[in-house]
Amino acid sequence: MGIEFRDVAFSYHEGQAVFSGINLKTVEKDILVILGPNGCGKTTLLKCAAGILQRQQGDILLDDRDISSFNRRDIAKKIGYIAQEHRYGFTYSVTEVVVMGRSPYLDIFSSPSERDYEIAGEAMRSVGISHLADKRYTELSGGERQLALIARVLTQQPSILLLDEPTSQLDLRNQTIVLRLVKMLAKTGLSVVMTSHFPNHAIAFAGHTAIMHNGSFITKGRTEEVINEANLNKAYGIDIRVYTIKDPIDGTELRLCAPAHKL
Amino acid sequence: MTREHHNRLLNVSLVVAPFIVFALSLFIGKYDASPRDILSVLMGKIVPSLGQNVSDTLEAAIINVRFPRIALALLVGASLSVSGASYQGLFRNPLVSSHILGVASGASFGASLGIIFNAPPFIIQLLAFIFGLTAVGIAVGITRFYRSSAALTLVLVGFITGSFFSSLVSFITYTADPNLKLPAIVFWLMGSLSSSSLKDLTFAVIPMTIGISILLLVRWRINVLSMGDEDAKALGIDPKKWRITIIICCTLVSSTAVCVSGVIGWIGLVIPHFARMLVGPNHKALLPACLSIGGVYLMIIDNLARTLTSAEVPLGILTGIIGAPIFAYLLTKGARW
Repeated sequence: MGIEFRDVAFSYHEGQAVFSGINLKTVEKDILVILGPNGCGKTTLLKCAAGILQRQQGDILLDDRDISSFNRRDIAKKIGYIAQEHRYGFTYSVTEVVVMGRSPYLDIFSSPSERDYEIAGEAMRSVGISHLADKRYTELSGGERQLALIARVLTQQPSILLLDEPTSQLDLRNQTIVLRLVKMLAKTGLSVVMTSHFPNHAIAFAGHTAIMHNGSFITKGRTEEVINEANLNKAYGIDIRVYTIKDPIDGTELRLCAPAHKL
Repeated sequence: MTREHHNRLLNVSLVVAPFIVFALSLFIGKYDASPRDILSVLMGKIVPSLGQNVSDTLEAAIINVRFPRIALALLVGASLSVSGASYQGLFRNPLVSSHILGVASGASFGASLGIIFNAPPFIIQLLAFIFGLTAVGIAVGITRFYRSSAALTLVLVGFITGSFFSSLVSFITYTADPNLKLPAIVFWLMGSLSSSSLKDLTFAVIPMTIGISILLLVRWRINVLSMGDEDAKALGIDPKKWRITIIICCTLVSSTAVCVSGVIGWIGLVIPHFARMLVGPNHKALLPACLSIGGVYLMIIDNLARTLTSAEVPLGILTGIIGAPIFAYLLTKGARW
């Protein structure tokens, strides 16, 4: 079960591969972070996994079957994807946006039923945005918008969740809210793949990490084994230190990384 | 008044208004007849015994002239508004309509081509549809080529294709026989329902009903499509397939409108904005609202066109004079869509 990449390559223009030789498998009911600097090919990789872009080489399997043999609706029932870039449509209410998650389940001529609105309502409750239900979606803050999109993706009831840098435009508080939510979703049984350019996010999840650089993986495996100074230096091209610190109040140990030298 | 009451009242008005305006419009016109006589004609159509003391000319005026004209005003207004709202949702661009996208110009080129070659109505309709589709195809194609997602690009490109086809139309009118063909083409191009007949009505009703029905059936999907291609794909909808389906339906109804009534601008742009202010942007509610408001609006405008002056005022002129300032006002009222 899950998504598996076997020796996958992709290029927008012939001869200029965004990535190649990619082997990867989602981790069931856990979080896989694809970590890497800007422009390393994370987003393109995730779009291929979501079935939005078509790979040129190799195989992408969804539940052990070639992903291109599924129709779009069936993919959308299994995979939920939240893009990093988001352009607004019209001034729909949050509920109207969230209920769009039901579209893979609806016949072409039908629109959401009472039951679909109930599912959307439950999703909004579970991410804590019920109070925003009637608000215009275009007037949400960055954090609220990300939560609304997560509610929409939950309304899709997928088993795999692909998140493209869900925290990239959020402040520290909203980053934490979103990351906690993602962790909780993995606990409830979703297999999550999340891209990030921020190693501390991967450390915080303590799941699995694959570090990407120039279109291929430097390393991948359990996060605590993969995230070390050598790998991070290689990925980001600067000296990075990994610190282990003790919380002064409750004494728990934390790992954090930061650039080595002062500015 | 609570919001729920307000909504229910609004919905009821939207359903009832077209019927009321339609019925009242039957009593308005140049042919001098008392409301009582007109009522007898109408009743006579339902219960024959009630229509016995009605003159044949009056019956002809009401049934063969006034009725099809009002029905066409309703259909054309509804078609232009519903297709305008659908184009806007599809291209996630509140500034487009069949007029702006060049569909109207393309369709009028196709139709004028048919007229000068004395083609039968079905062929004229077909030519209008084909060239309407060509115009929107070129507009979308060029926009893709520029790789621009800015709302204005599509508007400007629509302006380019529109101008191109308008020039072709001008060329045709320039070469048309000044006695036989020219007046017909020119008057028709300005937008008019004055020559509407029962034949026109039966001819337009089928493509328009088909196109509008399909658009109404898939209207909720337009919400999803308006979130952009990538979101639509992630939500299990093939944007390309749906875009083609919806463009074909929109172009079918708006090119049919051009065939029966010439180029009537502004409705496809103004009515969706107005409807959005009333019922919100959700296409599930928006399209039926456009159907109702667009139909009512054009019936009223056509009543004015028939009665305002002793000679007919072409509809396109009136909708422009009324539509442009309304649109300017709607934009200042808050550019929220």
